[in-house]
Amino acid sequence: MEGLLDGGVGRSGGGVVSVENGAGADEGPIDAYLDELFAAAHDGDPAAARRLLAETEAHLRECAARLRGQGLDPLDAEREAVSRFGPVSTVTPVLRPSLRDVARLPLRALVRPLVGLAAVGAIAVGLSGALSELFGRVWGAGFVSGDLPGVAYTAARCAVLQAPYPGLDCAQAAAAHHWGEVVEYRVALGVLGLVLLLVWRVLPRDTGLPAGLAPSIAAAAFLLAAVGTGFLALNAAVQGWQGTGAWLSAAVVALPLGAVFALTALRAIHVKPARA
Amino acid sequence: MGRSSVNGQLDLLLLGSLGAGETHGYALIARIHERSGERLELQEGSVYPALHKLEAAGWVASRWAQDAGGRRRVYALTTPGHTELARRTEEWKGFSTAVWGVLGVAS
Repeated sequence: MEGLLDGGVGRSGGGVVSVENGAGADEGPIDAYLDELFAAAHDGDPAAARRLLAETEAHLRECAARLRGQGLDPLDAEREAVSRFGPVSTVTPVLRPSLRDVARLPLRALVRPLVGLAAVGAIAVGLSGALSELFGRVWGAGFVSGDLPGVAYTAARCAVLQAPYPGLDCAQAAAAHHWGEVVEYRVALGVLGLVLLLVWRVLPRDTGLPAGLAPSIAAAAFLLAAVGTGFLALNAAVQGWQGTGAWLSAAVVALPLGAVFALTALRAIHVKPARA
Repeated sequence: MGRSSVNGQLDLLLLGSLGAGETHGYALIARIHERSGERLELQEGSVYPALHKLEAAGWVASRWAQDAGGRRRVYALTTPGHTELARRTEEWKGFSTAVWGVLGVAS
């Protein structure tokens, strides 16, 4: 800290220090630190990122200049300035609003993340529909859309169900009837999800949400869905074969998506330590 | 004094230091170090998120200024900031007196 004080409220310094590093490039630890900060700031609020980069560079250059004035060689002075400043994660909270600030964000800032989450959710439902179709082709419609044991229909309802499917008994006709709900409606929702994804891509990026918030929400939703539908699939399986595929297809899609979004959230929250 | 001891009072230290006049982040850290009798050491980067937070609260205002070292962001207390500083100073005095009382030392 001595270097901070020997000139009072610093007015000198600030000059650019050129340091030859091992690679021969005309860049030193301060440049490397600023590069890292720039990379960490890429999805933050642009105005806040620009201001933070300018403030950080001015601070580090002045600190290094004062340390050089105390006799440190240029490279050590830059290293010490970076060390005193702290890791990039010390300053990056400036670039994103905290969770408490989310309620104060303008509605337009939430539109793109919400459309993105809706798109991913709908596409996941569509994928589960496609997987149900595959299950149905392999193990029959009953595996996907059959009723659990104990479900019974009145004679009148059976007649309605069997009308489009002559030759099938009541349970088989019910499974064929419910096939649309399990497979076709889901696939249709998946197509809608693809449309939403296109909309998401063209929507302007606005003030960022807190780092990792959107993937965290997606991860929580998919992992909860995986657990819930996995339990229902298991329940259907132990009661018989019927209807297991409807839930199993959802669990098989939700689980990897939950894992992918959890990793994405962790990567978004985690910031590499500074290189000194 | 260690950085962990400072962290809980960083806002008060920044407000109090800015009470001495407008300045930029680097000089503000130097001012705190000097006025503390060289006892307080801040992790220098932590000052900027704290200043931005104080600005968002309306207690601090900032602007770009040009000096010999180049373009700098300088910070100053606002009128609500002066009021907040006075309130926190009184709060700190009360807390300090209470602690000294517990320790059996007259303040």
